[in-house]
Formats: sequence, C-alpha cells, structure tokens
Amino acid sequence: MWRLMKAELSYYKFALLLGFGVCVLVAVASWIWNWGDLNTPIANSAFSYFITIAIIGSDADKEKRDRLYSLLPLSLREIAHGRMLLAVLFQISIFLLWLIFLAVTRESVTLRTICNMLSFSALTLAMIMFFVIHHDLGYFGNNKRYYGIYYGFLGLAIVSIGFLYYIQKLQTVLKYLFTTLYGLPAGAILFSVFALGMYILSLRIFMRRKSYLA
Amino acid sequence: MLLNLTDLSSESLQSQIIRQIRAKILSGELAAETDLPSIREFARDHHVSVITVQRAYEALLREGLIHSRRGKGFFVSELRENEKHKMAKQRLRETIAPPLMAAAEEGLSSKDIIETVNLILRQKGKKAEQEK
Amino acid sequence: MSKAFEFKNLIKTYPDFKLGPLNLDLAPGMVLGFVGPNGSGKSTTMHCLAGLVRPDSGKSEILGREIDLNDPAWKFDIGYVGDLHVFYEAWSGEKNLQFLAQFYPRWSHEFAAKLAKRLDLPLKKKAKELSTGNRAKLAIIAALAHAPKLLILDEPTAGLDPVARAEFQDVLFEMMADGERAIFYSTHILPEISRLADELAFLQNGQIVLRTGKDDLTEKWRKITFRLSRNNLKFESVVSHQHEGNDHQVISSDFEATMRQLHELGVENVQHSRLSVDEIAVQILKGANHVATHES
Repeated sequence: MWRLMKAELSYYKFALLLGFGVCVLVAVASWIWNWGDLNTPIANSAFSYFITIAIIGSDADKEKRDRLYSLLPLSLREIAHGRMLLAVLFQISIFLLWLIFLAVTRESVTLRTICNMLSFSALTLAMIMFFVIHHDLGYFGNNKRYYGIYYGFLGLAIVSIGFLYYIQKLQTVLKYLFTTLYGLPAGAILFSVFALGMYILSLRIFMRRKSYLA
Repeated sequence: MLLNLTDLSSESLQSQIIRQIRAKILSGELAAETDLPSIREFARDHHVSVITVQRAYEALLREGLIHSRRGKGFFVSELRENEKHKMAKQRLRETIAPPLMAAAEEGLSSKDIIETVNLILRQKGKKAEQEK
Repeated sequence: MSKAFEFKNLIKTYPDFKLGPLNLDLAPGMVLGFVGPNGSGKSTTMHCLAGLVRPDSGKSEILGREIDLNDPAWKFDIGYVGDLHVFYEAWSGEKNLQFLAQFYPRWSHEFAAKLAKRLDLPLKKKAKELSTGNRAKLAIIAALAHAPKLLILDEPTAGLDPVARAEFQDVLFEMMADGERAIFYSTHILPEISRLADELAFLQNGQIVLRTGKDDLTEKWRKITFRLSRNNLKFESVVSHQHEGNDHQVISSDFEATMRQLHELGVENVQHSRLSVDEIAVQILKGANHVATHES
C-alpha cells in the first residue's frame, strides 16, 4: 500500500504542493491581516484541502485508478488502504502546518485549540470517506442491501435534522456539537472514533465491491 | 529443417508438414538417424500450434519414417531402399488418383493420359540433362 | 501439474445477460482460442479470470490456486491484456512500466525494453499522448514483462498495425516454446489464432456451444460441391446447403460422413475444399444445422 501512496504522491505532487501552498498563504494572510481568531485559517484551509482532494479524486476516477490497482498483485485490503493514504497524509501535513503556525505566531496553545484541530481533522477526513463510500456503492450491481443501508442512514440523518428543526432544537444541538463538544477532549475523541469508523467502513465497502472495472 | 508452410494451400498445415518431411526422408535429404527438432521448437520456428506438430509427428511415427527415443527426441528411421521405393509408389498412387479421375471425366482415354504422363517425364529428363 | 486455469460452474448475472454456468479449463503448454460474437460474454469471462469482476457463483482456479481477491498470490503468474488499457496518463510509458515493475519479483527490464523495441513503442511518450495502437503495445509489454505462466488476452491486437501484430505473434510463439506457459486468447480476428491455437472454445449468449481441438475442425470441415439430380434430400453432417438446379454446394462438419453418403447416392463431379477457421467459426456461431437453399 505504501507503493501506491508513493506513486500517488509523486503523480499528484504539483496539485498537492499547490493545495498546501494555498493553505500556507491563507494562514499567513489571516495572521498578517488579523482576519479572526485561530479558527479562521483552519476553516479556510479546509476549502483548499477539499478542493485539492476532490480534484485529485476526480482525476483518479477519470483515469480509472481503481481498475489499475485491482490488476496489481495486491490484496483488496492493501489497495483499499493505498487509496486512502494520500488523503490521510495530506491531512496530517496540514495539521502539522497548523502546529507550526501556532508556534510561529506564538498564539496561546490551549487544550481547547488542540481539540478543535483534532476534531476538525477527523471531521474533514470523515467527509472524504463519505464521498469515497458513495462512489464505491455504485459498484455493487444488483445488490440492493448496501443501497438500503446507505439510504437508510441518510434518511435517518435527514429525519433527525428535520425533527430537531421542528422542535426548534436544531440550532442548540448544532451549536453544542460544533462549538462546545468540538473543543473538548471528549469531542475530539468522539469525532476521531467517528472518522476511524468511516475509514474502516470505506475499506469494507471497497473490499466487497462486485466489480473493479472502473 | 526449413519447410514451406502456407495457409493458402488446399492442404492442411498438418498434411503439409507430413508430406514435406516424408519427401525429405524418402529422397534421402534427411539421412537416417538425423535428429528432428522437438515438437515445441518446430512449433515456434514454423508458427504452428503444438498439437498440429504433434499429430504430424505421430503420423510419421505410424508410417515408420521416424522413431522416438525417450528423453532424446525424434529421429529419422533407417529405411531400406525397397521400403522407400514402396512408400514413394504408394504416395504416387494416392496423389495421382484425383487428377487422373478428373481427366477421365473430361473425356480423355487411358491412352491420352499415359501419353501425357510420358511427355511430362520426358521433359523432366531433358531438364535434368540441361542442368548437368 | 495443475491446470493453467479452471472454471467450474461459473455464473455471473447482469440485468440483461447471464454468463454461465461455464465450465472451462486449460492445460499448461496449450493455447486456447476464445471465439464468440460481441456481447456473448467473452470479456466478462476474462474479467473474472483477471480478478476485475466477482462472479456470482462457481469455482475459479489459476494454476491450482483459487482466485481469491484477498490473497493475490495467483496474480504474480498471470499477464492480462484487457478490453480497456489503464495507465497513469500523465506519466510516460517507461514510468508506467517502472511503477508496475515494483510489484512483480520476476519483472525483467531488459525483456520489457526488448519488447518495446520489437513492437516499436516510444517509451518516453506520455501515456495520454499514445495512439490506440501504441497504448495496446504498452499494455502488452506490461502484461508480458514478468514472464507470466498464464496469458489472458482479450483482443490484444486491437489497433495494432500489421508489423506490430506480426511481431506480437512471434513473441507469443517464442513464449510458448518452453512448454510451461498457457495462453487464453479471445479475438475476432481469427487468422491470428488460426495457427497459434491448439484448441478453440466458442461462446454464444453466455454459454460454450463448442470446445474442440483446432485441427479437428480444420480437418473435418469441408465445402463440397457436387451434381445430383435429386432434390429435397437431407445430407449428413451438413450445416449449410445451397443449390442451383442440380448443382449443389454443402458445408460439412464431418467430411468423411458426408462423403460416404454422397458416394452411396452416386453423386457426380465431386469437388471439395477446406475452410478457414474464420469460415468455420461463422458457421458454428450461426447455429448448427442451418439450412439455406437458393433457387435460381
């Protein structure tokens, strides 16, 4: 799987460097021009991160990278890991960028700050996994079971949100999740576990695909 | 061993192989105990499938023109002159029958046919003289 | 020695098509030609062999090892040229091959370079800049460079110019010479396998309609013309029949049987000729015992 990651790294180095460069610029600019507190560069770099990964992902899809990998003498597990490692590596490097940013700007580094950063990283990774899973679900042929589970969960989420909105608690819940819990160690752990769960799910779903033709 | 094999013939590849090797053996071009290429070597060199060569070799084995030694491959058999003579005659009978029949159907008499055959043989004789 | 590959009751179902139950095998040292019309399931069969598609049921083995997508040991011994060629498009052919080389212990860079020279492939050009034919050449090199024991070729010469095609044939004949390899070759261009193939399997609508030695076909099938003043006769082992007045032309799948009958009937002006593998394949795929009479 490391060979796959190295190949992807080498193949997309231009896009990755550009994306990373934008993150650095955003961080520097927000500091120089005092755009806001620490959350601003973190949040803004997320855009760059997503766009970079989305572009890379869609390019890999266009070139049918899944098929190329599936022809290699590797187990499905190794291929599944290999697909994800680039996004994970990119995320880690951005996390390190933030740490360096904090050190350089000598902002006060509280537990809350670290927890914020961890939660954010976990959630962005989970989002990426979500898109990958959505893509892979298209390769199960007639098997309606996975579609059922997937749309079941989606439906549940939408209904829950709708329900919360209805009882006018949506605002409160969202605020709690993404500001309070976010900055707490419990929150960071929770979101990390969630991201790990999504990662494992994405592996499982890839390994159970019915076809690797594209 | 160089053979001339073609897809454009009315003869199957297998037959071509058998006929050409037989001709070389009966004419003495391939001397007794000469070793023949292995089946796979032959297949590779002449671009034919292994099974085709296998069957051709088997046919030649049955005719007694070649023999095999375990682990050593295939070899041209030792044939006495009269055996070769008999084989060549048998071959002639087989190959000449269809055109002779066709000629008869077209209305030629036995006399006509034998005359033509002699003419052809005389021409071959003249050619041999010229080449000397 | 275990078979090069073996399918037992392989089934793959799609909404509008079913492949199988398929029973097919290939002994090492042999070449099996795979013939069938478009949409008959040839590519699907090969996808299953290459691990690109998971069959619905049935057993599949390559060189005695079960095709298990979680244990890829069997993949080291196969070379697959598919119906679609995938590469890192922005990388050169050379770089693509270097990438693949890392995964195969038996990869030979010299052999790859030699193949590239023989097939006349510019290795420094980016994959996306290669013509269809050159992409095919790159795919061929990628499949052969690690000296696989089983070659799975799905119309490998699509797009290749005649010179490259001839070179490819040469390479295949050379590879078969050590007797340890097997080739499973699907193609529409039957002259390509008319010499190379030891056996042929005909696929139609997801089922194998015939599996036979190639020489058996070419020895037994004949086109026979004759004169007979009787009409409305059924001829033995004849798959097609045309006649103009008393002149008849039949295609026979068993030359000796048909000739015996014709002699008994006392036909005249018998002439016969062999059929190419191409012509035989068309007859087989059109359906056995298809009778066409042309009156004029």
